[in-house]
Amino acid sequence: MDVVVTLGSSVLLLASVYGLVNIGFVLLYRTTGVPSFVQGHLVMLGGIIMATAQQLLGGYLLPLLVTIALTAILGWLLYQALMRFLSGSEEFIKAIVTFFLATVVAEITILGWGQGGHHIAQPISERFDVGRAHISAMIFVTLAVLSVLVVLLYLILERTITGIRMQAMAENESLSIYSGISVHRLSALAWAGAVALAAVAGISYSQQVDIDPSVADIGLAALPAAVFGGLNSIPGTLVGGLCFAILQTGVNYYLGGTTGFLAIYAATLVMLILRPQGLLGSVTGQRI
Amino acid sequence: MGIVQRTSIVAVACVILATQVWAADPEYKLGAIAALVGVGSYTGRPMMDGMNAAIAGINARGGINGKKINLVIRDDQSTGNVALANARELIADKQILSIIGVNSSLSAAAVGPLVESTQMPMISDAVPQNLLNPPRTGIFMANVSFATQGIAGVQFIKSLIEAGKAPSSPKVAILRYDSPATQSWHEGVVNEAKALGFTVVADEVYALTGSDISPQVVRIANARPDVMMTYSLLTQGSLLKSTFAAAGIPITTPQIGYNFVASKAFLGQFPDNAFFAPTGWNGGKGSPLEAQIAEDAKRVNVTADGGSFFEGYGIVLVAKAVLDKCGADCNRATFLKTLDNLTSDLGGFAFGTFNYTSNYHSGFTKLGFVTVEKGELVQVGPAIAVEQK
Repeated sequence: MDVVVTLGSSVLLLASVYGLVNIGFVLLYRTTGVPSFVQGHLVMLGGIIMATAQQLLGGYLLPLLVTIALTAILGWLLYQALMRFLSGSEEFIKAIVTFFLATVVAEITILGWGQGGHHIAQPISERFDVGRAHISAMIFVTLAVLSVLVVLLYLILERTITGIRMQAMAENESLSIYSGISVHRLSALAWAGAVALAAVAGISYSQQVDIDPSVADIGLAALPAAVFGGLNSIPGTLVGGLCFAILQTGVNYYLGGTTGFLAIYAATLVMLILRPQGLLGSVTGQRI
Repeated sequence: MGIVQRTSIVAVACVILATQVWAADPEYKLGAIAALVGVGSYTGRPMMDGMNAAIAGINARGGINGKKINLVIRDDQSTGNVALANARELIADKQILSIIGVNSSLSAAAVGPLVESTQMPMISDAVPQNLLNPPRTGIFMANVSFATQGIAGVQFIKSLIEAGKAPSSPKVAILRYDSPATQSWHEGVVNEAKALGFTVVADEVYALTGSDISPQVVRIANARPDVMMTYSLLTQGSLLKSTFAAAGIPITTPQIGYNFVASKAFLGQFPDNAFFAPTGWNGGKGSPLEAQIAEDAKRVNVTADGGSFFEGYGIVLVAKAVLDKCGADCNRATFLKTLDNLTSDLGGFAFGTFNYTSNYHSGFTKLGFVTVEKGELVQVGPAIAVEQK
């Protein structure tokens, strides 16, 4: 029982964090067509900004709001200062730029904050004891936050004019411009949202780890989960995150060592061969 | 001999003397290589802090043999090729007596053959085992080898048994991240545990990129160990603590780590006298040099804490001991010759005599263990005599 409880709570936290990272990823992919490799690094940066804000302001809620606001502004600026100039470029070029951007974010973070870990004090310390093991109440808070954000994102993308325009923009940027859609404003909005979501993921992850530059590696596991579930599907990335959290934890437990990572990458490769659009993703056609 | 000849000889002698006086450097020049960005900067930056603090202190106290130390710093960006380019540049500067630092084993491995072939002394805290055994010309380790630290860690368990913190036949669990360094440490731990008759009940490894160690920790919890041998990064204290607690392992279970974590910030996250870390450098609370180190750290606006800081400080003290003996006219060749036979207590900074021999280029004879008590880093028990392996 202890084993089930401990591993179960670990799976829930991991799946939630993967989910939070990936809905930001999907937001960018579905609205701007950019597969963003910088998401993991933004998770790390968001967590470090939160830790700094907490040191300066104290408490939890105010630093949280400040962090979300600052990271949203950062996302906006990232688009205006960099990604805007790639408007109309091939998807590959945009993806490569985010790849290099990840290195820039990592180096700036190290120069600004060093390599050390940053602790974020949690607002709730209650836990539920089950035998020798326990589940932290914060895991349920994280699940609730993830659920609210998923519903919110779904409503924005599917039920608002802005969301529909964002998706149209990803389908065909040039046509969107001719149709009078303000591509730059909407893209900047998507980047602001994606960076803020990454920060929320980092803050959630801080209940398990201190935030240091290695936290950026969460992107290495979250991205395959998104690919597995379907890059353009919010439910798909959530299912992918849950599958991978179970697979990674289970394989690590039963086979030991570092076999969990091997398992998730192998599963991603198999999925890409059998169903390239992912578990719940939809096939997108490209006019040539 | 006529007056003209005598005058000529005196004049030539004066010119030679004057040239030598003018040519004698007003300072000792050392070259540092450290990872200041990238993954190696976890240890490179604090090591650099330690080296800068030690040099600032030495210079402020008047230098060595009346000469100050000038440190030329190069960043290897956590990359072996860059470290090699750094080393070439430093070796080309004939005034540089020695390369110091080189905090990643990757960089030390890349630089090693070059310093060996050029007879450039290198004092590094991360020399891989294959460059230490057999010893190579010019390559010196200012740290205790990974395997030796594992062996000494298991030997330390005996003092926990004597103190009643572990049963006489303790069940030992091992947890480490995956790397060549931890592999060497692991071999030392397993072999020594076997030699002492301790049972290794769990032996777990995790990926550094994972950050979720629950499966490994649950397996350890199932084995109910009495003592843990834990090799983690300095930044993973919170991860260990939260995962252990979630899996039901009391965080009071004694843990013995690696010298990275010989830090007040890390050990202070655990209850007093619960987590122990080995260190070769006697810079903790109550040590003879405590005040001096703190003062030197203040000179360069850093905090004297952590295994890597003390390694950096210690590397400079090794260089200082060499320069003390090598004299004001020390050059690269005489520096190497002095380093090759160095015997010193480093002013009390090493726990015992620190000496390099022709058989082994790692100088420690004793290793101390530290923990945290009431928020202060303190040494536990007497330092353990180590045989370098």
